[in-house]
Amino acid sequence: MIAERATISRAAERRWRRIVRDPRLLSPLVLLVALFAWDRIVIWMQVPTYVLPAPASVGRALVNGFSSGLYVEHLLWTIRETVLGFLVASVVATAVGAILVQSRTLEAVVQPYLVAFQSFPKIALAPMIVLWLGYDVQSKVAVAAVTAFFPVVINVMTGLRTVDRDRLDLMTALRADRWQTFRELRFPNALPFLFAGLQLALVFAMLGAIVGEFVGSRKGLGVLLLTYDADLDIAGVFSIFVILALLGVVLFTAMQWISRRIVFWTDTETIVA
Amino acid sequence: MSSVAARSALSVPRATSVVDDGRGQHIVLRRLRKTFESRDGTRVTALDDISLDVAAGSFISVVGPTGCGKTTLLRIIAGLTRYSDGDVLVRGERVARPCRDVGIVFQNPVLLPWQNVLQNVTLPARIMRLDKSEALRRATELLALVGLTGYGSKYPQELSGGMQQRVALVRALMHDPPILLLDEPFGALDAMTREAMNVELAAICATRGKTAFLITHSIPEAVFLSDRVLVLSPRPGRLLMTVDVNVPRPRPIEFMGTPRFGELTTEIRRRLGAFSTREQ
Repeated sequence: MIAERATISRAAERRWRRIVRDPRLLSPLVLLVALFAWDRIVIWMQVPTYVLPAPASVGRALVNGFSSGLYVEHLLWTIRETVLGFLVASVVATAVGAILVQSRTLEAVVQPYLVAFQSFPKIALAPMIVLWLGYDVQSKVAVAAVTAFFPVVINVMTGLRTVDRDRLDLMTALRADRWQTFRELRFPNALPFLFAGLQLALVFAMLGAIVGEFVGSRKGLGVLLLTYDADLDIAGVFSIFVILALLGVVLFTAMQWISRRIVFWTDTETIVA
Repeated sequence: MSSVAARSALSVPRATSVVDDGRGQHIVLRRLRKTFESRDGTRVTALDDISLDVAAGSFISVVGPTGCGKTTLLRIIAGLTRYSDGDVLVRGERVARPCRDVGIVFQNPVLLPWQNVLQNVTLPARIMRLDKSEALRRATELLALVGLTGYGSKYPQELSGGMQQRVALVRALMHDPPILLLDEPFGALDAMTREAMNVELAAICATRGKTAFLITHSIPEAVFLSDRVLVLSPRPGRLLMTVDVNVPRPRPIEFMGTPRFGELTTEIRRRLGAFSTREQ
């Protein structure tokens, strides 16, 4: 009897340990603890709300924002810009990468310009892009696309170039032409790299869209953020932060889910973008 | 009677001219030489003065220590590596690039992980633009031959090493090439799987009349499978000796227990042993 109870409690203890160590449970737990500490500190030190709002007032701002439909409208606008910018960047960058690797000379000629463009802060381009394309959705899509372009083009080029020697020998031995080698070997070989790039690109596109909205826009979370900032509505500002953070996580996870299904043969996370 | 049959396959007269007319011979090498530049700029001779004839339908193995240029020799015949001097003919044609009369099985299976078994084995058919339904029929038949019926929709990473190499063999046979080039195809497999694969390979080559050119570092494997075993010296690779097995193929596994088998393997071991003291 006693021995039995002992084994049960040991098993329970093991189970409890497993639950506690599970990151799916542990990460939200960390958030809860942090929120609680934040709440206590704000109340205990009597921090004024325009410096640091308590979590409860941020929560209130979120509830009000969503129930009035205001946040939904702006959120959808930002998502729209992000997704469109991401799609443009993906298609253009994949095509550019695929063309560049066709010729060593071409690649060598264009490479320095690509690097120069990459090191250039895209934020500095945003005002000009808004000036050219106006306050509508196009300019934000363009800023998002420009920001998201890089991880994709670099990864596509790396993926198309890093082909296993033995596999190339196989294609040569079968006398596959250039297009057949691309279709059967080089392109699928590049897919894990491409998707690693796309995962980053989606989050980059969101950042680009927000930057574009900062510079000039009628709608979007970036505009909302600027408005609250000007009104010293710090709880509102924080509520937008929360939305942006969640949006980033959702976009990244969604892309990860898609890529796991398409490039099922590799673990995309092992590829460094 | 049976040994007469085996000898007749090998008794095709050897050509004396520098360039063979190729009739009856599937692979002809004449005074083949391969040199390459090493990293410090010196010329290294990998293969030197190699002449041989591989008759249609015969099974030839090349054994030799690591680094003797066995793989280079196979790659030259496959048209994947250039040679420096001499002549190389496959079915009477001078080799300048890969030839579709040849099917290759590499050291590694070299399967494409994004294609399932069926897609992998029909790759040559897609590249050579062969009839789709015919390719599918052949793939099904060949997969059955190597005991992989029902594995068509599996992916290579779901298969064992032996199964993967079987898939690679089926792929090499896909376009029905008269010649098979095998570069230590079972080197990475465990001894038991390897033996089973050898028996399968022997049966396939004998019943389908394939000319086989096998690179191996296993002397028993070479003797068991081949009509003739070529022994290469360490670098530069030269032809040390040629051993005719003279036992009809395909041979039962019991052949490995016969005195003839013992004599031949010992003879080759002794000859190679004189060269290498540090070989595995």
